[in-house]
Amino acid sequence: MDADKERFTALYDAHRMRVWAYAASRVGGQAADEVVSETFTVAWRRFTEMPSGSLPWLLGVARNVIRDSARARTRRDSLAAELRTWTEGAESDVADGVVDRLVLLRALTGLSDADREVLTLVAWHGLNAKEAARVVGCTTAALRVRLHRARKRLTAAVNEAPPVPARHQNMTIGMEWP
Amino acid sequence: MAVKDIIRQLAEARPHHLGGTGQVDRSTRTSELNRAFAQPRETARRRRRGRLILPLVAVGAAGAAAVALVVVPGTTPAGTGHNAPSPHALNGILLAAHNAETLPTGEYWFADEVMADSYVVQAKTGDYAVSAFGSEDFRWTAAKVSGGDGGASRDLAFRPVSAADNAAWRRAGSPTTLRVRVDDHYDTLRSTPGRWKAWRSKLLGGSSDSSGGRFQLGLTVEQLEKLPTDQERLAELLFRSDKIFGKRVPSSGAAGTRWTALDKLNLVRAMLNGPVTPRSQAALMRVLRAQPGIREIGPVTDPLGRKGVALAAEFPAEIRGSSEKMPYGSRLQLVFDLKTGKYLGDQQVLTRPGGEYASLKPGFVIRYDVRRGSGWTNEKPTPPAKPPF
Repeated sequence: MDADKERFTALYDAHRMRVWAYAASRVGGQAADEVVSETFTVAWRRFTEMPSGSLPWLLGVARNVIRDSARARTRRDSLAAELRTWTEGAESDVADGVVDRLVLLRALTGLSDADREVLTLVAWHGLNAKEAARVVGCTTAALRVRLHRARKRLTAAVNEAPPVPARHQNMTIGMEWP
Repeated sequence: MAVKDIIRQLAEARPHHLGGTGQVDRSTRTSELNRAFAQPRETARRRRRGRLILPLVAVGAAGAAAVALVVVPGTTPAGTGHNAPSPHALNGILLAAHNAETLPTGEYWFADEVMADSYVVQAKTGDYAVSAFGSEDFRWTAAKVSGGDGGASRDLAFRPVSAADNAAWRRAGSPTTLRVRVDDHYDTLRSTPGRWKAWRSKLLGGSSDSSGGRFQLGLTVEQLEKLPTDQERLAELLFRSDKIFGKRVPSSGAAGTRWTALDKLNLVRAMLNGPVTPRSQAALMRVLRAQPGIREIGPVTDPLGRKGVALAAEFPAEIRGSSEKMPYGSRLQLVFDLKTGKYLGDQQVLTRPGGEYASLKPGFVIRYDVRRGSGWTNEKPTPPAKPPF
């Protein structure tokens, strides 16, 4: 294996699961595998221009992959299923004393995609404002503004949250009359 | 909660599986690295030549060797493959595929796809299944590099799946909107379709707007015309993990990669997702039919009511990457038109009821993605005004 391939393999081993986590938080676990595969394919093609602090760059590629994929855009079910999994997981944690977790996740799922994106980049994927700005493709200042607003909306959503109803059991849809 | 704490609280509420830790399983690692290394590295100038075409296959690591096709400069088609006669309907299709080696081309290629998922609506007057969250996805690609690409999407109306479902929907008062709860989300399903929303793709991460000239799996028209039509050569090209078009790929444990029947079906599905010559399509079908775990099923009817035959493989009994059992059994079908042999699309069909599909019968279509139309044109393609249903 040549030196570039070794470096790339090391990069893959270091970041693959974080890229997967990012993709899963955007499009759900099932589509995440394909997004990751495509992301590293693109990353190899563009390896010569990859900066040294490479995780935000990789996440930026993954973000573009998601954006450019018509199928990912039109398939909402995988993420909906994923959100269910999160809240189910959260529910079981209530006993551990993390009482606000389900409320928080439910509030998060109610926000706009743009708000959810900046919040999770910082809170879940551990990026600072500068790195998150690189992923999203805006200036650091603009990202700070977006983050500030998203935080406010998340806080408002948490405070407005109704009591948590019984968990919906499966993929069948409960119907309400309009 | 105080504003200053909310990010920290959110961080603590992160679902465990999104921690970005853990290890990828070995075969996924192998196939993802192989797939990447099968591409040449590009300079910034070369990158402007084509937009990324992302074949998002539904399941698994089907992409392993797939995109490797992109790098292959050219192969000469060998003689035709041997095929034992069989009484199956597919043979008629294969025979009907004439020996066209070149693609009919125009300025643009377009495809119009219709996709939806099925759900069960619980009503006091009796449950019924609806095809819902459907969309029609129109896309076009210029034959030439820099010619552009783009498309449009629109939401489709929900509709009861079968005549019996339709009767149950009527018993429930024929509601024209369904306020549905999918876990903690509320959504309104409508019995009228939405409007087209157009989109244009842009180069990945680049400032250039050039796109076009590349089709499924990033292949050019020239490469698509040069796909081998010999069965063995094509199978080797598609499914071998250590060599691609006779070129060795890096040995990051390549021998460990195994293609499941479903992976193979998904890869060919991605190949059929764009223009192919009839001869190449026939070769792809022959290759698939010869694979263990893939069989012919027919006759079948697709969600647009077209008669066809299908090549099918079972979904695994466990959720990929975990030991969790699937509560129901299903198979993936690639459907081909019974008369013309044209590829119609794919559908996931229930084989063993269970879980959310416990009340349904085998044969129920869980989700589908079928092609309503496709072809070459010299005019800038426009999406059809009328929805499919």
